[in-house]
Amino acid sequence: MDSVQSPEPGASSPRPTAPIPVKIVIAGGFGVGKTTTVGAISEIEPLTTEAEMTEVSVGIDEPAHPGKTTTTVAMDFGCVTIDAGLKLYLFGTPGQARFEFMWDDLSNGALGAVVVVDSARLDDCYPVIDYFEHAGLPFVVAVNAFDGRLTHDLDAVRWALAVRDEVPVLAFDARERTSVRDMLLVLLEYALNRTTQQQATASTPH
Amino acid sequence: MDPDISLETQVSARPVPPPTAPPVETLPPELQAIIEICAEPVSVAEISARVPLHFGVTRILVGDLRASGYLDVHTSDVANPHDPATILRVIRGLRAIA
Repeated sequence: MDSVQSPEPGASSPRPTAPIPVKIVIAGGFGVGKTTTVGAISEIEPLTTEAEMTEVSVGIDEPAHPGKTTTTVAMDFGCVTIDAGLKLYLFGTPGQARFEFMWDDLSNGALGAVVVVDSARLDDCYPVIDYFEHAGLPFVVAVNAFDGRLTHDLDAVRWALAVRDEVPVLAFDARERTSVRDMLLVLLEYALNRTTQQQATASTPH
Repeated sequence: MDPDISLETQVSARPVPPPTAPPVETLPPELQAIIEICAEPVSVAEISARVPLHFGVTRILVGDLRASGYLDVHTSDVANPHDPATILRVIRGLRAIA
């Protein structure tokens, strides 16, 4: 495999080996605090990668531009070194349905996802919640409590978004490193429980 | 394009490119930039952000540079996200953050 590194004759210092990457998807509408969330915990300043999306126009046909338009979507991301061999990447993605083309790539191999919501504007995140449900990706709903206040209480958010009882719905402060860390720990403990339960079910004799 | 190359896939420059490969200085500037960024292992997403180039374009160029022997692309170094040991490792790492 390409990843096998052959020792270099005469190399003065050992070359750093590449860590194994793991990732968590941070989804949500515009302005809910995805980049703030990534930036609060990332050991690098959040970076932006741009992906090109081709939209097939629906509705009115425009003869000058038949069928397709191309838009660029910015994705902010950061990373956290977990230990010498493991690096966690956090990728932010918009949560509206027209960004669905990105979610397959992002979800594939992810440990889980966070849906960041502003309790005053819940509409933006229905599509991505639906998507994670169908993809079987463990996710939490994290309500960004900007100034320590929530517009709705968490039960009302859970009810409005119609998420299952087992899905954690919690409040956090996207600006606070420890608050973001604790929110990610809730996600990972939920993912761990799910995977151990699934494995227990799979190994139960019928 | 290699579908195994993801945003988080790690890439590192080979210490010595194969003798068949033309010298790095003769490559187009964006390819030289990619090779330079990969002196230490980095993700494809970081390469895309730092050159900068769109992710789709970066993925193609990284694949080309792998094929011509300048880069190692660590597509097989992946963790199973359903492995409890992996999740526990990440939990322990995050708990250590103050």
